[in-house]
Amino acid sequence: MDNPHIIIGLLNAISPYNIMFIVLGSALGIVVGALPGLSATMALALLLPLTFPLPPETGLCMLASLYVSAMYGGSVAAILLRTPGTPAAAATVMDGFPMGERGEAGRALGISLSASMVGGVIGGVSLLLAAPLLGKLVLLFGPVELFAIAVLGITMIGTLSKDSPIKGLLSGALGLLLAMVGMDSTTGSARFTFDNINLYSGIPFTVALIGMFSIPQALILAQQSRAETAKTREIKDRILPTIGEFLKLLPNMVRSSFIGIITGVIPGAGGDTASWFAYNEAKRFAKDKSQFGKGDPAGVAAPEAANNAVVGGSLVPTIALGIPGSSSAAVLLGGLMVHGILPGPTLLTEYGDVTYTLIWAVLFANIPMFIIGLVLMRGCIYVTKIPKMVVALVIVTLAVVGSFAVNNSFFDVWLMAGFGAVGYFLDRARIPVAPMIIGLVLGTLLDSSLTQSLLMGFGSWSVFTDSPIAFGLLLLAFLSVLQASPFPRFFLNRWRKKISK
Amino acid sequence: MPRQKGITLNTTKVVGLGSIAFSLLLLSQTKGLPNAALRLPSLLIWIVIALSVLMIIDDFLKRRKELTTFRSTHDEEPIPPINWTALCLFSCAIPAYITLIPIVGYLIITPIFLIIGLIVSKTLSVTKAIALGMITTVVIWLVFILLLNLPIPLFAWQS
Repeated sequence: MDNPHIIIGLLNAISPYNIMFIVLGSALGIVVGALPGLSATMALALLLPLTFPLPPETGLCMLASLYVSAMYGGSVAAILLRTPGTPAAAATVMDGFPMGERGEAGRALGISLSASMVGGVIGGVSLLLAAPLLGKLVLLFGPVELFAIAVLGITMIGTLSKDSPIKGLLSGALGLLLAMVGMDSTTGSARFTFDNINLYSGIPFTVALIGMFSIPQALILAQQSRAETAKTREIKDRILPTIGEFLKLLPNMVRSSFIGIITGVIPGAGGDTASWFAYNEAKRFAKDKSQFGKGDPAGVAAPEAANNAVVGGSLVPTIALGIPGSSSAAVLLGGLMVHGILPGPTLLTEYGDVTYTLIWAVLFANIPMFIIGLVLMRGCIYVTKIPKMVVALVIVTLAVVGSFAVNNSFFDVWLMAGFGAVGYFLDRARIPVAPMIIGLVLGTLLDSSLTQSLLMGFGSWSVFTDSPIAFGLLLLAFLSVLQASPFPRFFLNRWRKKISK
Repeated sequence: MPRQKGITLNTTKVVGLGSIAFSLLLLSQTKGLPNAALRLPSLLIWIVIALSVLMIIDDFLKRRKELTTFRSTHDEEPIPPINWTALCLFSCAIPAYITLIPIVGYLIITPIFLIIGLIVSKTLSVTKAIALGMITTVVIWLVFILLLNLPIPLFAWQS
């Protein structure tokens, strides 16, 4: 290993102090993931302020392990309640719940835990191998190419949104616009601050994150507080799969893990997309397809391996390019930013020790996740029974104290509440929040790289066409917007009609 | 298509119009700023306005199609209707809680917020609500105030 940061990162991750926080993060991740309706991103956003006083590598170890474990935790409610704990566990319901119904809840949870570990380890290893290679490539990039990468990242995240690409792109553009608030780094003039001194340093990313991910969820849970809760199944059977069963499911887990990694690398396609994709592939490869949807263990293993592998995959563009592959990865990037580590190529060089600690933590978090997952499995039944109003109220108190912790200011608390209200309306309008958050992260990078590029090009925009890499990336961004628009379908239909005539 | 009872809200239109209004507000703030500071923001303002208009048109066309074909154009399951009573009560409680922290103090208002919330929503009995309110406050106090030294006003006389 010619990179000393890899060794420093490894030594950091295995220090007893950091291991303690990895274990804590894993336990919290499983509990939060098991709570129906709470996403890994929300848990990360709420717990991000806890990491402020910690050394950056320690805070990141805790957040990384929480992210990894919450992915598994989501399957607990999916199997026991028929309600996915996290959106990424939605596909697990298909076969996990029928297994629980026929008295195999323990077996289903054991398969889910084993598959999550396999997926997590493969995802972690691929992150460890791919990020340095991409990082070396990125070192060749200048501001012109970085601008193009940021544009491509935001357009891809926007256009890959589920309901409507227009909504995804609008969310991303709004995030970028909000990132423009504050002092302009080139001219030193205050932009969109409304003469409010609190806005001179810009909108705090963490505050927006807490508001957008926690308050809408609290409002939704409060509205459902009177709704009848589903009856939780008991675990009476064997938990861990036998070696024979594990080996039989292993090819499916490995295939699903690679699906998860590839899906995770694509900005905007998260754990939910990966798990459905892996589920469909598992069904396609199965000899007896008729058992899918009726409690086939392969239908549990596939989505769970995929959604845990997404963690490693989504961190590849985050670490190598500074472009978060998912909203959870954006929070992890936010965890770096609060310690003054900015996204970009310097993540693997100047701040390599911290970044490699994060990478190793993603890999090692699978061990405590497996052990704590086994220990807490029966206890998680009680977690799924917590009334929704209790969760909603606790979320609000944590969001208030967490947003205050960012700058010790009540202005930030109000800002968080404002973002919460906006987040609720976006959620109702089916506008994804992730592009907005990623836009908020990338806004500064986009602004500074544009200014630098235009300075290099003496004010001429042709600087972006002169660089073949930047031109290629911008062309790709344009094509991703174009394919999401109705124009290609319109012209394709006309062409088909012409041919048929 | 069955119509929802009570007050319905076209949130897509609300968000679209809100985004346009927000963009125009920012546009009004651009006077006097140097060109270099305005390059990207002004571009983004017009992109947001264009996308908002497109989103409203797209939503209008989808709704018209739904009305004519009596079929939902959304792939996902429909969004549940808003429980206005719960939403209004809860969204009023949040600003009230934030306002009262510096006046009454964090350690007094937080258990009150939790206990009243649990009792009004009839989630838990009074005893259980009081116990949960106290325990949650103590845990948050331990983590954020005792361990992290957060300078939040704890009591009325400290604010």
